[in-house]
Amino acid sequence: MVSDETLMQQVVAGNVAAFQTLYDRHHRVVFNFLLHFLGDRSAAEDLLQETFLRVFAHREDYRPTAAVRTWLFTIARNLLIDHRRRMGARPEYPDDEALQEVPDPSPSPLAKLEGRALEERLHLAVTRLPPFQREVILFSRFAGLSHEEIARVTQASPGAVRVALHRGLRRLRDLLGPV
Amino acid sequence: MECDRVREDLAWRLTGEVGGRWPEPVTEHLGACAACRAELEALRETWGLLAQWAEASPGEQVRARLLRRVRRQLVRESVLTLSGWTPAVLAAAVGVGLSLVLSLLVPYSLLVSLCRQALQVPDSHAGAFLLAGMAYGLPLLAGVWLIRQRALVGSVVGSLEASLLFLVILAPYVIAECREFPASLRVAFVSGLAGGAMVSSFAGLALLRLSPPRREGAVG
Repeated sequence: MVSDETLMQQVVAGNVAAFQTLYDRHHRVVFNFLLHFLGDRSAAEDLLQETFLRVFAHREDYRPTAAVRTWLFTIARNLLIDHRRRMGARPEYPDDEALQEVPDPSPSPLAKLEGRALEERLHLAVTRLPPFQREVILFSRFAGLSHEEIARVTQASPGAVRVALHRGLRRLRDLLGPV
Repeated sequence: MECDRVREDLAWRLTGEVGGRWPEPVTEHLGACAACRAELEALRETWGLLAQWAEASPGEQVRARLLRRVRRQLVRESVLTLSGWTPAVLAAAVGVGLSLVLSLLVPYSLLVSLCRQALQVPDSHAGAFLLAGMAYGLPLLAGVWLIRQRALVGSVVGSLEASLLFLVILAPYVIAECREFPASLRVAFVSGLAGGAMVSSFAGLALLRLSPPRREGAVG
């Protein structure tokens, strides 16, 4: 399999086929990160498109020393920050009542929650996390980035990533209810 | 070992960052501390729940729209930037070089005569000049094909640019070389050259598009 870095070198030369391969390889993880962060499918699709368009438009800024995936998520994250800034007037997180309103089909262990109800609860709980904890958890769980990569993408120290992961998971557990 | 210290490590280890066995002080502490064990189980369960969050896919129209925008971007770059013209310049330079080599191997007087015989037309007929001009325009196809890795040549705009440059470089030379002919025949010759260049560059474009699609593992 051709490496991402080789593909990127071809994209730099304007090779659209190589760009399509890169898109096919990475679009799903980027999309899921954006979707789970925003909880808005349409906005996630727009940002996904903008992310890859920016990859192409700024392809000459790519340095072969950097992993393509890290670069890709750095761009997606920057666009996400811009998007949230633009949406600043709107409430960022659903209120606590919204979380309570989602029916909990199982009175005891959350592990028994199934299907849509679980997804709704997860979504509401994740969107209640502070942005940094939210992105660290999503990067780790859905993008498969290592702590080192998350630190590079978020421009935070590995220690800060570690703490955010821990606090984020604890907060998430509290939001989801007693386990 | 302190509970706070152990707990901060738990999430880090749970997320798979650290493979292999857990350090002995941590396992020892977990064995002795029920609260930390409970914390570990709670975090594990939360982490596991996240894995059940179904993976979603964006609509197909996102890919199609993105590729349309990328191609538009390429066209803009091709026309508005110096680097965008580079592939066309290279293709035209190769085409001009090969065309000049062809003119040395088959001088235009011979080529015109051959075309005249092929078309069975009289000496002053413009058709033979048009056909000869076209023949000298065909080497541009090799130019386009040789630099096919430069993707901008694989676009309509890139093909037009390559044809235009080929003609701009070669037409003055052809006009000077054919000065003993009447103007109408020179015009026919240059028109043939332009036609040949256009046919070549668009044939090159068609060949590039008809090439087997580059899929994963075969991009190159």
